[in-house]
Amino acid sequence: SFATQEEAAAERRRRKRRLRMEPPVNSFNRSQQQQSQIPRPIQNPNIPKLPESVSALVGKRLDLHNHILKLIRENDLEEAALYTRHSVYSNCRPTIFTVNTVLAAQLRQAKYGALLQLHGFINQAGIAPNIITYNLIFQAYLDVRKPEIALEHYKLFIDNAPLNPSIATFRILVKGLVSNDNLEKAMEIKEDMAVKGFVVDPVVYSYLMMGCVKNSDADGVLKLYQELKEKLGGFVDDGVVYGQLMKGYFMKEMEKEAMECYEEAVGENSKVRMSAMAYNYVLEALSENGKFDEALKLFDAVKKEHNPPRHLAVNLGTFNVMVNGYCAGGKFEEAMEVFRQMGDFKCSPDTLSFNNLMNQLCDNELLAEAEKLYGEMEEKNVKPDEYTYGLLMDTCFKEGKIDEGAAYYKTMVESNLRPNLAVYNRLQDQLIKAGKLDDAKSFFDMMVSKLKMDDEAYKFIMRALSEAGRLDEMLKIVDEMLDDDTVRVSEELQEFVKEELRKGGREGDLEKLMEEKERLKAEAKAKELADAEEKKKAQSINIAALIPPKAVEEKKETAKLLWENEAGGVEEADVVEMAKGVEAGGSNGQDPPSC
Amino acid sequence: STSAAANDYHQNPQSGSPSQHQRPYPPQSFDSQNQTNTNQRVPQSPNQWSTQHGGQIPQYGGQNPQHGGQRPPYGGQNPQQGGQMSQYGGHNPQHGGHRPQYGGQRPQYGGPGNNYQNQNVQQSNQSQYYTPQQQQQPQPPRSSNQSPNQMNEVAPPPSVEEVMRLCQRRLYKDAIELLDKGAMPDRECFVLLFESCANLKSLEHSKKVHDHFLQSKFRGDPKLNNMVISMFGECSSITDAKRVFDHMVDKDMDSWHLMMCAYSDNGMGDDALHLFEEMTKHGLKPNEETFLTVFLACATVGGIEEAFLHFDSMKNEHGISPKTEHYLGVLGVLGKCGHLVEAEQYIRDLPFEPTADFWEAMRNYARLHGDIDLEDYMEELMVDVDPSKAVINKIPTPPPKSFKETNMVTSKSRILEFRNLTFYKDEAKEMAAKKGVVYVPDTRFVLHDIDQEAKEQALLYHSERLAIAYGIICTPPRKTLTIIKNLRVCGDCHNFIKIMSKIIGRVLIVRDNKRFHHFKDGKCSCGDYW
Repeated sequence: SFATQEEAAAERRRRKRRLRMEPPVNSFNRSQQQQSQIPRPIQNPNIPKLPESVSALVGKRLDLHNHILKLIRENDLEEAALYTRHSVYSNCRPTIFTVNTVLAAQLRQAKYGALLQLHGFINQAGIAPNIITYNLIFQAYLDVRKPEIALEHYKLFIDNAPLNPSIATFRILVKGLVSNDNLEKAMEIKEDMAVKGFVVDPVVYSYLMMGCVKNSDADGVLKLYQELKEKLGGFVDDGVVYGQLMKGYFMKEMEKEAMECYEEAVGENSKVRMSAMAYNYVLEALSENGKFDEALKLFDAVKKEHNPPRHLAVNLGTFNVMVNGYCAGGKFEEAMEVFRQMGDFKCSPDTLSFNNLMNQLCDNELLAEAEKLYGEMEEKNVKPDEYTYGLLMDTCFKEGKIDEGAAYYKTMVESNLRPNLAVYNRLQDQLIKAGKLDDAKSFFDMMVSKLKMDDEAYKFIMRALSEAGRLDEMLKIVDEMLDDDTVRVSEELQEFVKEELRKGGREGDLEKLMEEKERLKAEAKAKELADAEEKKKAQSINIAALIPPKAVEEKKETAKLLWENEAGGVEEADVVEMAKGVEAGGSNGQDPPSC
Repeated sequence: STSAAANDYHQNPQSGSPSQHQRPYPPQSFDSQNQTNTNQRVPQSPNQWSTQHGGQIPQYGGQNPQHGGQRPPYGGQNPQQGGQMSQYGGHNPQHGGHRPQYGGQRPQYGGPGNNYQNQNVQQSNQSQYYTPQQQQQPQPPRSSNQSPNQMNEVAPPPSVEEVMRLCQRRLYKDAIELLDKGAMPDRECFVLLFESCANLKSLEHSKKVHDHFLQSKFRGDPKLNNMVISMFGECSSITDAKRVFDHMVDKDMDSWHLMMCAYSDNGMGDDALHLFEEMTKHGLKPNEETFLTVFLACATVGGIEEAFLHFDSMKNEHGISPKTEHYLGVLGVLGKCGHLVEAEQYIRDLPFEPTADFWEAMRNYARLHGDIDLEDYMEELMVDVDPSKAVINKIPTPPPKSFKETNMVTSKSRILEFRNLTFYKDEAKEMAAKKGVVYVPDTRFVLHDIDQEAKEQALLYHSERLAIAYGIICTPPRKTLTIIKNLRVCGDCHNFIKIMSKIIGRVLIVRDNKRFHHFKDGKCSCGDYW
C-alpha cells in the first residue's frame, strides 16, 4: 500500500537497513533530527552494523587498499593478509573493500584456511561485511565441500544482514550446491530467488539443468527449460542453456529435437547470444553424443569468431572438450595438437587440463607422450598434483619401469604433496615384487613419520624383512611404533610379530622389548612427576613473596595463561583444518574431502 | 581611511527587505551609521529573539514558559552563556558551541567606535533581556589575534591581494590567519578561500572563513553560499552544511544538488534521497544534474532498485533523455554496491556501443572489490576501445590455482584416489603448535580484597594498557611504540603485552622502573624473568 513505486522500493531497502537510519517519516521529525548536534544514537548495540560505503575509501585508507592490491599482484598473500590484520589495530583501519580484496585473492589461490581465519578475524574486529564478503564465504564453503555450512551462513545472511543478495550470490549457491550433489536445495534457492523478486537468470537455470543431466534426469532438464522460456516470454536469448538442453534431448534419444535446438542456438540468423561457456556446453553435447564432426565444424567457426577482448568465444574449456572428443575417437596426435593450440588463443591450461589429457594418454599406453606433457607443465609454470604423479607412477609400474615410478613418488613427497596410503601401498607392492627390499625399506622410513599407516602396511614391510631374515630391523620397527604416541600396537600385530620371530627362533624378543619399554616409560613418568612437584614448590614460594599466604591456595588454581585455539566454535576450526588440508595439497581445490 | 572602508564593506546587502526575519543570519547590521536599519529590524523579528532567549528564561524566574520549548535546536548551549547569545546576533546558533568567542564583547569595548563588534553591543543593549548582570558572566579570554579592532589601530589590515597570493601558493593556513588580522576579502578571494578550506578538509578553518563571510556584504550571494555548502560537506560537517542550506533564501538548483552531494559524500544517502523528495514537493523540477546526484545517493545506500525507478521516472515523467553520464551513474550504483555481475550485464545491454569510460568505470569497481580477473579483463576492453588509456608498468597478474570456472573437466577430477585427506603426522603437530592465543586475566596481581570480577575489571585500567591502546589508535600499522612507566609492570600486563605484540604485529618497548622490556612477536626480551 505505497503511493509510488519509489516508496515501495525505498521501504524494501529500508527494511534491510532498519537499524541506524530511521526512515524519514515526515519532514517534521526530520528537521528535529538534523538540528540535534549529536549524531543519531545507535539504539541497540546488537543490531548488525551497516557496511561502509565507497565514500569511506579515501585518503590513507585508499592508500592501504592500493598497497594491498600491489601485494596481491605480487602474489604475496601472506603479507597482504597480515598487513590487513595489523592495520585493524592502527589509525588506518582497513575498509571492508580492502578485506574483500584479500579474501578474493585467497579464494583464487585456493587458500581456504587462511581465508576463513581472516574472515573470523575481521568479524571479531567489527568490520561489517558487505555482499561481496558474503559471496566469498559462500563460495569458500562450497569449494571445500561444506554445503551445509554455506547454507547456514546463507540463512543467517538472509535473516540478519542489512543487505540484499545479488545475482552473484544465487549463482554461487546454485552452482556450488549442484556440484555438491544437492540439487534439491539448489532448486529451493531458485524458488527463493523468484520470491525475492529477482529477474530470472538463465545462468542459474543452466546450472540446475547441468545438475539434472548429472542425475540423468532428462525430463527435469526439459521442465526447467520450459519454465525459463515461459518466464522470459517465449524465447531464451542466452546461449548457456542450449548445450544442456541438447544433452537432455540426446538422453531421451530425441536426436532431431536436439539438432533443431543446435540450429536455433548457432544457426545463421540466430538471435541467441553465445558466450564461450555456451559454446563449450554445445560442443560437449555434440561430441559426447556421436556428433564429433559437427563439433569440429563448430570449433572451427568458433575459433574464427573469437575476437578478444571484445568477444570471447573460446576459453580453456573449449580446448579441453575438444581434447576429450579427439581422445574418445582415438586420435591422440590431434588431441595433443589441439591442446598446444591453446597458447595461440591466450588460454593457459591448468593442472586439471594436463591431468585430463595425460590420463587419456596413459590409458592408451602412450607414457612417453604423457611424460613429455609432464615436462611442459614445468615450462608453463603449472604445478603437478598428487594425481599427476600417481598417474605417472602407476603407468611406469605397468610398463615395468619400477625405478622411474619410485622416482615420481619421491619427487611428489619432496614437493610437499601428500599422497595417501593407497598410493604408498601400490609403490611398496611393486618394489617388493621387483625384489627391491632396500628401496622399500627406505620409502617406509621416509613415510612412517608422516603417513598414518594401518596394520596391513606395517605387516607388509615386516613380512618382507622377516622373509629376508632381517629380524632385527623388524624389531626396530616395533620399537619405534612403541615410542610413537600416535600409533597403537594392536594384539593382532603383536601376534603377527611373534609368529615371524618364532620362525627365526626368537620368540622371547618381543616380550623383552615390550617390558623394557614399559619400564622406561614408568621411569620417565616418575621423573616428570617429581619435576612438576619441584616446580610447584618454587612457584608457591615466588607467590608467597608477593601475596599474603592465605590467598596462595586458590590463586594457584584459577589464574593462568592459556595458549589455545582462537575463539570460534569447534566446527569452524574443523573446517579450517579441512580447508588447510585441501590447500596444502597443491591442486585444483575442487576435490576436497567429501566426508 | 580604514574604518570608512570597513563600514562600507559590512553594509547589509538586504537591509530592510521583507524577508529579513527568515534570513539565516539576521543581519545584525554591523554598521553603526545605519542605525535606522537596525532599529527597524528588531521589532520585525520578535520571535527570533524570544526563541534565542528562551533558554535563559528559567534563569530569570521561569516566566514565559511557552518560549522555553522553542529552544531545542541549539539546546547544547549552556544557559549561562545566554547573555553572549544576544551579543552574537543571529549567527551564533549556526555554530553551536564551537564558535570562537567573537561576540563576547564587554561594555568597555562598546565605546563610540565604528566597528561592527561595537555595534553588536549596541544592538544587544536594545534587547530587553540584556542586563548588566549578564555582562559579569565569566568570559573566555580573548586571544590577541581575535581582536581586529585593536589590530586596526596598530597596522592597516593586510590587503586582499596578499590573501589571494597565499591561497595560490597553497599557504592556506597563513591566508586564513590574515583574515583575523582584518583583511577584507572580495568575492574572488572568498571563492579561493572556500576552495582552500575544502582542500584542507579542516572544519576549524572552514568555520573561521565562514564567520568572516557572514560579516561581509557577500553573505547573501547564492553562488558563494553554495560553495559554503560544499566546503562544509568536504569537511564532513553535514550539520553546518545543512544549516547554511536551510537558511538560504534564494536556493538555486545547485544548492539542492550540492546539499545532496554533501550527504552522499558523507555516506548519508538516505538523507540525500529524502532531500530529493522534498525538492519535488517544493515544486522544483529536477533536471539532468539532479538525477546524477540522486544516483550518487543511491550508490551509498545500496538502493539499486530505487536507482532504476528514478532512471525510469527521469525519462517518463520528467522528459529528460538520459545521457552517458546518467548511464554511468546507474552503473556506479551497481558497481559501488558490489553487484558486479549485474554491472557488467548492464554495460553489455546498453542501447549504444559502450565507450571507454564505461569499461574504465567497471575496471575501477572491480579493483574496488578486489576481483583481479575482472579488473584485467575490463582493462583489456578499455584499452581496446581507447588505446591511449593503456597502463604501463602493470604488474602481471599471478595465475590462479585453477580455472575451474571454465575448464569443463572439473567433474572428471579423481584426485581423491591419490590424495591424503587428513594431515600427515608432522603437519598436524605443526598445526597444533601454531594455534592461536587467548588472554585470561591473571588476578593474582590485584592485591585488593575484592571479588573476582572486580579484580578483572581492575586489571583493565593499568596505565600501560591504556597507553598502548591510545598508541595503537593514533599511529600507523606496525609502528613501534615506546611506553615509559615509573612503576613495575605487573605480571598480567606483561602477559597481555606479549600477546598484544603478536596480534598487532608491532614492537612494543615498555620501560618500567627496573628495565626496558622489548616485546616482539609474542616474546619479551626479559625472558619472563625480571
